[in-house]
Amino acid sequence: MEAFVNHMKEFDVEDKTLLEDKEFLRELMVRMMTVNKFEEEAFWLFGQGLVHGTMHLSVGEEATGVGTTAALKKEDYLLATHRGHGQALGKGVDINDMMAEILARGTGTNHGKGGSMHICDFDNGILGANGIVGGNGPIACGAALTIKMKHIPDRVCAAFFGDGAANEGAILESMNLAAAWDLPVLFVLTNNQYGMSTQLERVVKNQDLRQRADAFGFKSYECDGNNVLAVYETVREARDYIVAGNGPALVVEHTYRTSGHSKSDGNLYRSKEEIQFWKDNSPIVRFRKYLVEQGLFTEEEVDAMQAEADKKVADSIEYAKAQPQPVVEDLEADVYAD
Amino acid sequence: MSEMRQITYRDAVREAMCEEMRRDENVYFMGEDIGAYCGAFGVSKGMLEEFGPERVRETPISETAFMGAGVGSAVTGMRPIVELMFSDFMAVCYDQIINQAAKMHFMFAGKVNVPMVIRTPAGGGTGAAAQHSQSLEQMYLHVPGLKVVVPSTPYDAKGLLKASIRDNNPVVFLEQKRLYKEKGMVPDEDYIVPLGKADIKREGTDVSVITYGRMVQMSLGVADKLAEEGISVEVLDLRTLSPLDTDAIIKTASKTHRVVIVHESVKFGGFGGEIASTITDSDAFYYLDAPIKRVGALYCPVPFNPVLEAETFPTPAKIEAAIREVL
Amino acid sequence: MATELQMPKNGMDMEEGTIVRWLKNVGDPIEKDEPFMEIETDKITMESESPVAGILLAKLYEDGDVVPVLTTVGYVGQPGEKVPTTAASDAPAEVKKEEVAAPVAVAAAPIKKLSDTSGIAATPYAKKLAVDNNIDLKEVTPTGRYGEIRARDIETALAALPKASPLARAMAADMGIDLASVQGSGYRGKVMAGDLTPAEITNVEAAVKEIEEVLERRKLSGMRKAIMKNMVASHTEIPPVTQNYKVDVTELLALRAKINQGREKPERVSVNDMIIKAVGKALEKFERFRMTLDGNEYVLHNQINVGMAVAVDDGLVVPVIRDVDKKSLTDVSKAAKELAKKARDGKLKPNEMGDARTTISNQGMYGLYSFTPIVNKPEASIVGVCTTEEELALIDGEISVRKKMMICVTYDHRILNGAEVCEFEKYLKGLLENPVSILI
Repeated sequence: MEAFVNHMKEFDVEDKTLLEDKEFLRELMVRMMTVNKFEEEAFWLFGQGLVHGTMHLSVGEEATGVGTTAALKKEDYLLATHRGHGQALGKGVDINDMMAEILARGTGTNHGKGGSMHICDFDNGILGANGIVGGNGPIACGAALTIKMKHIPDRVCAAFFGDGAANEGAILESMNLAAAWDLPVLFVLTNNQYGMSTQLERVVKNQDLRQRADAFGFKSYECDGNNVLAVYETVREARDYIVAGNGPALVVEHTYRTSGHSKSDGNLYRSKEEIQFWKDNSPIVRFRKYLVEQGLFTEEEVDAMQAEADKKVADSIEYAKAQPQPVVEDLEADVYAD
Repeated sequence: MSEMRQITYRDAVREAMCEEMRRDENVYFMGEDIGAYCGAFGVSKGMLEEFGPERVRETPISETAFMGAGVGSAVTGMRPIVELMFSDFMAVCYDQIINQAAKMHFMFAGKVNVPMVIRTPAGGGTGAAAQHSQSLEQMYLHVPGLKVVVPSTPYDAKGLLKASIRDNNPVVFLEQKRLYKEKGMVPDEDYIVPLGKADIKREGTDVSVITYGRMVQMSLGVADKLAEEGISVEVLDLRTLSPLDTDAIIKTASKTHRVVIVHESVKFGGFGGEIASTITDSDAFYYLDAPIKRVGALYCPVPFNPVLEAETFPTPAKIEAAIREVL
Repeated sequence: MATELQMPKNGMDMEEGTIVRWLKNVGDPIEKDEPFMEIETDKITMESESPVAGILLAKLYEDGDVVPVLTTVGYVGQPGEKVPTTAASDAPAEVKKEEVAAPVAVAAAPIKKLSDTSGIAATPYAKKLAVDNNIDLKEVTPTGRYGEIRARDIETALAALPKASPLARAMAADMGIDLASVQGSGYRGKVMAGDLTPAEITNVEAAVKEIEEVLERRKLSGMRKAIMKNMVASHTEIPPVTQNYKVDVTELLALRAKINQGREKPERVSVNDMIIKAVGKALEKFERFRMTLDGNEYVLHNQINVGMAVAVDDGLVVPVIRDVDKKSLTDVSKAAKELAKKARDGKLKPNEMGDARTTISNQGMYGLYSFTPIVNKPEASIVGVCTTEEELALIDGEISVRKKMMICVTYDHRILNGAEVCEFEKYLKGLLENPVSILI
């Protein structure tokens, strides 16, 4: 806990012009609230037996998914993780289609064949969320290679991964390959301090994860991952750096997952006090406080944002529940492409 | 009329890659030491000179990264040919082939294709011992979403590779190390050999040898020998293991009533079992006049000593013995 | 001592190399690790270096030669040193792989015969051939190495049998016909289905056609098979003629009513019983009706046995009442009732059937006016009995109501002629119209 508190800075923004775009600020808040509500409701549906299988929540990490994707363009590629609801919603996937997929419906983003861990939306550059920890790094290199070989301007490929995946050979190999070939890969390391239940300091000697980039010879950035404006600013800078033709960059976003790893998490590896601390300092709580204190929005206006997010999610559930189940006849249809 | 030329299996593979790279600028070639060194088996001789380092892309020794890069570029519009220096190295990048490449089309509801060829030399008989001599096709075959091709002649190698490059799925193309130097007739003109079509390499009436890859040539040699005794052996070369030409298997089994299956990979748990089941699951069962025999490698890693190594794999003597047993 | 320069083995699959060109001439000095020749493998061109320093003493191959790996191509040494002259033809230092790797002969495993002899072991194809050709596997000699029947064994068994088409073989088996006794019309005397019975072919073809359209296929029961066999034989062997006489049974019915007065139902006499008794009398009188045909001979039988067709579930049986001439009407009636019950219960014994002189087929209860019964081989005739109907008749100038019944006799024209059958029928008619004579 201490390691992270060092990264948590006073909530502020460097580029004050951001505060002039109130619609942008409002949109960031609504998106974070939507992600939060989406997961809360999905979890509740899970408890009711309406969602089967498993799902991984990112409650408390909303600023990473929303802040990062806000700094990306629609055409940018994105490879999300198994904990990718916020990453996908932030990048623009239709909330109705995504909720339909969570409910395994035939009209979901993956026609009921993927589920929570594999949300995709190729129209918005989402090349799929990956169930294999670190498995998306090499693929991100390939998408970036396409950008490079086809000389596509102003485009990057972002790959989310966590502090756990940072120790996967696939990620380390990808960092080397991206650096060696100057590929436009944005490595987004969301350090939520636990790989499932395993605390970072128990399995990593050098906990300064930024230095992973140093080792492979490319640039890195770091930010308070519970400050959505800081995340946005940092990723924007890193993206600018990449599209200028400098090769890959790493952004380490320090955050905390207040929800369990998955439905089966009993939270036996951390204290209630620790969780409560982070709930009190969640990205939404802090952003709300900032917006009100700065006189940018009133409490009532923020409440209205919450109401808007709640409605979006409620509507998506209503939509998803009305969607048909996939048909068994189509089961083997997509094993091979024509 | 197109001219026929005699070229090696290795040349056929290279010609297929070069022709497809000239035809489609999205096709590129990636792997370890494929440039100046020309690849561990010299397949890519001259390619760097013609296509340059962007399209003949040398990788770090980092199979997971470049295999995944192949996948990522395939889903964003490229058509990579990825060379894995030895097919044994699939174990190093299994995730990218099995969990990523093979699954994406299905998992993402058919919204994306993975048009990618994994070219890799397979098989033994080169004294390269346990980690460089395996035939691991059955490990790919058990994964829906992958296609698996094992060519036995220069003609097939070229035609099948061109078809594989044009295919919209991940294709594992298992070249046979010991066949690289074998020569065969190949036409000048552009042609493909469609995936999923077996080929009768020799017609016969008494017994069918169903096989693929290096074992095709070995089986043909045995067939020649037995022909002198009046034993007529049909040799069916499967060429593509997935998709599998089950019709051809059922047809030849029904025709000769006796089947010997030969593969270089380990017999236990090998693909021969699937071929045998294909026959007994079909009407061909009623036309069998002998148990189906399988000839495959022994259940042990490939040893270094040449006498031991030769004894590990199917030999002409073992194939002949199996044929005689069913006659 | 001179040091050998070799064609190197650069790679696990390299078997030979081409000397592109020598970089040194004989007599030139060479440093250790200095390239002395340029070679080309099927993969790549490279230089080959000298393992020692010295003078190039000899070249055993020229530019452009293709040389197996590890073959000596030249020598390096001190000036004036002698070199072997036959090295070019020497075998490579490494033992050729083919020699060491010569496959060890795989000893043939001892052949273990199949241990389970309770069933018949046969390959799927052998079984299929056996079924297709109606061959009994029990009669096939196995030649498989494990004692199993192979397809070739079925072919051997087939060759030993009279040649016949599969259909003909199946039909012959069903009909109990020995194929050896049939003259085949096919190639080299092969018995074709048509050689058995034309009628059977028609039936089979019709049956096959029907089967194609029906919902269900039912196996023939043993009884059905027997009926089929007998009927086909009768129909195809016997030239049949049927002659009908109308009989006035008014008196017969009146007599029956009298006889049955006061009798309990089980003891009552039926019209059929009276007909049996009458037919018995007629058989007694007309000797030729007691004959059967055996090749070129007629065989005369004395026992007056009368068969009685009884419809049962899924068929028809013909129990026989023996010595009708020696039995009273009451005894005949009793025997007929007993046999009919046994027939319906399926309890008839073999000795309660067969050896009849003729059979009575009574269809009266079905309202039949007239029909053509089929002779139950080997009997010479069959007596069909129809329903009783009221008719107006002129008797002594008076119109009266009479009860009339048709009797239809089919006979084997090889044994009987029309005239004698007319006599038989007229006699029978007389007996029935004057029923007291039956009792006498």
